Amino acid sequence: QRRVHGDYCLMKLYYFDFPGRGEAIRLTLSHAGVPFEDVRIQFKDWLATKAKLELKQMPVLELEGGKQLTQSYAILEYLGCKYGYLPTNHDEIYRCIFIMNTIEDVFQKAIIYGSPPPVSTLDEKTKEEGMKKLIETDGKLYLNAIERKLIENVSQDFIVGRKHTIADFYLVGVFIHMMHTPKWKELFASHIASGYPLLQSYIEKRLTDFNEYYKKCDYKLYYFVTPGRAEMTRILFRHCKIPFGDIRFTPDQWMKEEKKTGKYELEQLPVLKCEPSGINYSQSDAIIQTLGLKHGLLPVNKPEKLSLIHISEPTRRYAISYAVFCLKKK
Amino acid sequence: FFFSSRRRHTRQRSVSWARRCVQETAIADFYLMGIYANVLNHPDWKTMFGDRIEKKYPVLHAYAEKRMKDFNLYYGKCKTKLYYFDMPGRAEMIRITLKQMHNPFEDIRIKYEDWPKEKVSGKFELQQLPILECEACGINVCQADAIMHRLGIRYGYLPISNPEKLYKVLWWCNTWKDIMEGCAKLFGPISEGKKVQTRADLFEKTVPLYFARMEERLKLNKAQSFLVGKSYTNADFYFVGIWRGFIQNPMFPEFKEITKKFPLLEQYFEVNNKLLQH
Repeated sequence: QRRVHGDYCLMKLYYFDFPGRGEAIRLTLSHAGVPFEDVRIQFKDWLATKAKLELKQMPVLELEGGKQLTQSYAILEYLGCKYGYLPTNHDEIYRCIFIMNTIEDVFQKAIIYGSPPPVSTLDEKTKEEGMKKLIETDGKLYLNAIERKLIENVSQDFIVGRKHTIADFYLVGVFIHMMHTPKWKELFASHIASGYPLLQSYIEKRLTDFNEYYKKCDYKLYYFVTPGRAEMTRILFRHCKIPFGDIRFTPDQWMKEEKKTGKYELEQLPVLKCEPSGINYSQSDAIIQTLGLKHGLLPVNKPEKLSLIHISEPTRRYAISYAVFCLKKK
Repeated sequence: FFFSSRRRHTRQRSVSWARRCVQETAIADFYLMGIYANVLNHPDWKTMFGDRIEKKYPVLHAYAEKRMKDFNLYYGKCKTKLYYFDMPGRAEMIRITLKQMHNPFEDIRIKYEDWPKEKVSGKFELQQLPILECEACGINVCQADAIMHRLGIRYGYLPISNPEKLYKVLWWCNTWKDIMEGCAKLFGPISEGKKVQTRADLFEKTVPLYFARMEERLKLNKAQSFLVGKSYTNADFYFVGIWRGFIQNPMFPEFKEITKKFPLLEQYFEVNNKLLQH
């Protein structure tokens, strides 16, 4: 697929519509701020898509040039290397891969002993015994090893080192998968919460990084009763189906009560706030461009980016001509 | 001139600066270790300065002892031990890597009968083999894949600075790992009925598909003497190690038929089998 001037295609990730192996890759890309197309393939379309793939497996990451990358661990390490989430120290990288492989072991066994008939053909008795053994002996061993790695680490906020690594994204992805399936949730969630408090607090901290990705953000948009400058942000929220608090003031309310309270950075509206993530944005242009970047709505091409400024120019009350600065140099 | 009495103030200042430990190894560490090794090895200097550093600058001494451990391999003090069963299996690639690194290691082979006792003895972190241990360096690591990553990064067999090359190496490693896991699953907790079907799936669909993709990549590779780049990488070690451990294993006779259709892979193995011994 030749890259034609003015024709930009995003990275695409093909995976099923549940967390599983693809969640770690999605989280890495979203944390790195890389725009990508999250293609979720339903079970009914799986056979048709399978024929087009190289190794007949998912996840597959299709790069901008059309090249397909397979093998979830290889993709994760490639992205980690590219965007700075892979440690270069041999000891730290050992710990990353150790954690990922240990969780994989537990997962494989859990699938064998916990899945319904099409996936696992063992009889009920062996399954029950196996699951019991998994939780009491093998699972304990593995979870103890991971908790020990967390305790021995320099910081208890990250599993390896002092900053985000692929192991963090992998663990969050696995946790989300566990909470996504009701059966795993009832078996393991309370077990981890009661037996491994340090691990639980670490997971909760890392989950807050992805509040916006999982749409748990309590957005609140403050503006006047009129459409005005905030209407474009309201439209964006509705288009992306993000629930938000549409708080509107009358001019009297604003002048007498709210303006001087100190809650609004520049004593201006619109303002976007989100308490858990600590977001406090002002300036309508900045708000809409930040949200646009997060949800893949910004033009990536230079000529198209300039046209955004062109369109917003006439809406200003007074002539502010940064578009002129952009155009001045021929 | 570093220790001359006329420049006493410079020496003291340099030594107290050197007390600071950095988070990652930097050229300053190598420089200090080089000089420290010099002090230890020279008999006159050792009597003059060896004890003085230990008594007057304990933090510096502790730091120097810690960093000297990093170079145990270079100074021949590493006593690496590799624990595994008496077969190639998963540990073959680790044995090959250690030999390529010129790291003399003790190849401890545990017999099947002794394994249940050893397993519970508390020596093995996850009650699994293989385990790589080095008491001098304070290492006790398990999980074959993680060990290979560790050795690869430490000794340059994984191109960590180049994402595209890293992906190519890891593609090979992960594909071989998939084949290995597929074979290992046949001996795990699995019902009799499913065993036959899984075996058929593995040897009729999965393995020929993977081998075909591998053959394509080998054809594109111009040098043909290494899988990725111009020197040995983890990909080569995985290839030879898993071929010896699983493809040549008498428990999987189906492989003989399949490999006949992929001459490039067989040829690559023949050539490197002799070169990568341990």
